Amino acid sequence: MATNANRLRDMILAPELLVLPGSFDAISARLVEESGFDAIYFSGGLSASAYLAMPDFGTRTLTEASAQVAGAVAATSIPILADGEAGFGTVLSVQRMVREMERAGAGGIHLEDQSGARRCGHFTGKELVSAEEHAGRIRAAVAARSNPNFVIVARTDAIAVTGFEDAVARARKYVEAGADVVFVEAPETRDQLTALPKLFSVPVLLNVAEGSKTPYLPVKEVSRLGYAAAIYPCTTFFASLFAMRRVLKEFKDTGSSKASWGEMASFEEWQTLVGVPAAMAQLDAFGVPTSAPVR
Amino acid sequence: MKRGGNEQLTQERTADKPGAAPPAPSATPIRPKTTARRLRELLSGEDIVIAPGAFNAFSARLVERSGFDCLYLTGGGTGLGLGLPDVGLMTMTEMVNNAGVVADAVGVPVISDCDTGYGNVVNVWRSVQAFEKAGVAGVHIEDQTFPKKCGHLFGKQLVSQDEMVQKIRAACDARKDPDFVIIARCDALLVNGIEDAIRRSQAYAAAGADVLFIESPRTLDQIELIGRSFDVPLLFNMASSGKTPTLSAEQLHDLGYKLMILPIFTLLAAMKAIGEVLTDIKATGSIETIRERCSTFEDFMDLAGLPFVQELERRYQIPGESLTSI
Repeated sequence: MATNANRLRDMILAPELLVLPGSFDAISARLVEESGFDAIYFSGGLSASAYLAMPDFGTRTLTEASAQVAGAVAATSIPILADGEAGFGTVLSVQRMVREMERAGAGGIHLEDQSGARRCGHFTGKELVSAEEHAGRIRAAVAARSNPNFVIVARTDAIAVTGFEDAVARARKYVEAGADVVFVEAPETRDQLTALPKLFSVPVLLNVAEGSKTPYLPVKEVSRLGYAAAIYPCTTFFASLFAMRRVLKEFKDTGSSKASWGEMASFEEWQTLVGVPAAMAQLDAFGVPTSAPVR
Repeated sequence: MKRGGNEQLTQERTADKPGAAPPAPSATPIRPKTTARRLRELLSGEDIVIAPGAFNAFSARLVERSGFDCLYLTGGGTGLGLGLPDVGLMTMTEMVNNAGVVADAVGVPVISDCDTGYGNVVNVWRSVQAFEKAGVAGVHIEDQTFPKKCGHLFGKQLVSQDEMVQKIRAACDARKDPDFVIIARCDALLVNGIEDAIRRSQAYAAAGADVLFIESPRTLDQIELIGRSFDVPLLFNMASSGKTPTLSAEQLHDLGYKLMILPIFTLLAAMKAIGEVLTDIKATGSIETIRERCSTFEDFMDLAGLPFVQELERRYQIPGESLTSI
């Protein structure tokens, strides 16, 4: 069977747009797969939020981030693109990150040109390293991967800091340094969105986040513009917050969640999703006595 | 209380009378004071506190059994355990895991390396709480940029004095136990010189640091100058790089220092001993020539805590089951 890296690379290179809905833990990754998508994006910012309820300022360690990715990879069978943030330090840290994410089973990572004290791409107050420094990080990442098909996506955060022209110039340097895919973060206008896919010799990825600085584009429009891949990081997370809040409010107000049962997942759905029937079958198959079936 | 077992061991080891019956294990060990409080008591005493370095639980137990009141957990040594050089590659999670293991293995206060706090003030906040939860008595945080380099390497870069002052304030505010000791380490001496190192350290003391640590003084004059420049307790790093002059605890006490750490000498001793033994095994294919230089199997089991397990087995013996013995 092809590795996740090989499959992710093939899908990005294929003529159709690859859509990667976001996930933030193993269960949301599994839901993305269950819904019929071909690949999953594992968001650094949202998985950090799920894990620590802290903002995406590079607070979570590489050990924690890669463990979260490994959990999602183990729970799914389609490729995952992971968030390599700004590489967690120097070029040496970049190389360690690539090895850890590859070992975690990700099919690829994106690596951005922010300084170490990084921020979510759609926040203000971002600081960039020089294009030369980031090109060095890209070269280090390329040199560190053990599978040459592990996808290295170069992300530039320059639009909000130094403008669109500089972002394009930077991304071109990162392509020269060996990046497989270009990811220009947070384009702000339709013109920028239209221009980007045509400006590079490698596939271009677009980040579409509900309510961000980038105008929201449905998949059909992203495809029409010629992007190779699109991540929709926030959809699952925002939907979860919305649903949890709604039911929690109802439960607080009335002391019962019953009015929502028609829309909530059922006990059986939960068990099926995490594989309880399959686990019971394994216990039976390997002769481990079970006292009573789980109901 | 998760430390119960190891504290029992510690009490057994430090019993005054050799051969005296060990105290009976108690289901709820009494913990009259925290190790952070104990460290503060040591720092306010008359004597200089010597904190040899440990790099894992077994070296920490050896430090404690050798009669030291305090030990130092080295980041560089912990990194070597992961096969990483001391240039900021090890994550905070990895260091905190080791700190928790080491703090659990001993009863004496553990002072842990906390590098730069692993990032900005937000990382400092999270790091201090993580190390405190791991059970160490205090940490040192340094004014290098993230990722840091070993203090005795050239090519270090500093954050501004203003930023480091905020990091010290964040560290002090983040601790939940007010006794938790925040040590401000200043790396400016190799970068900007002694005057800047002293000026910065004064600002770090004013920001709330409990102990000051000026990294890698090069001369006795610098060491003396540092010794008479501050009111807060001073830490001296008896480093192995050769950049720092060799001084004894007694000399340092007389120069005004309160705490002497020796971060990696235990590790260097182990490296040399292991290397020599391996050379012999490679040459002879036998253990004949090395046996007398090795600890015994009994030592090994004893350090790991078998006597405590045997004591538990005796105490809660199930009729008909035999006890573990060597």
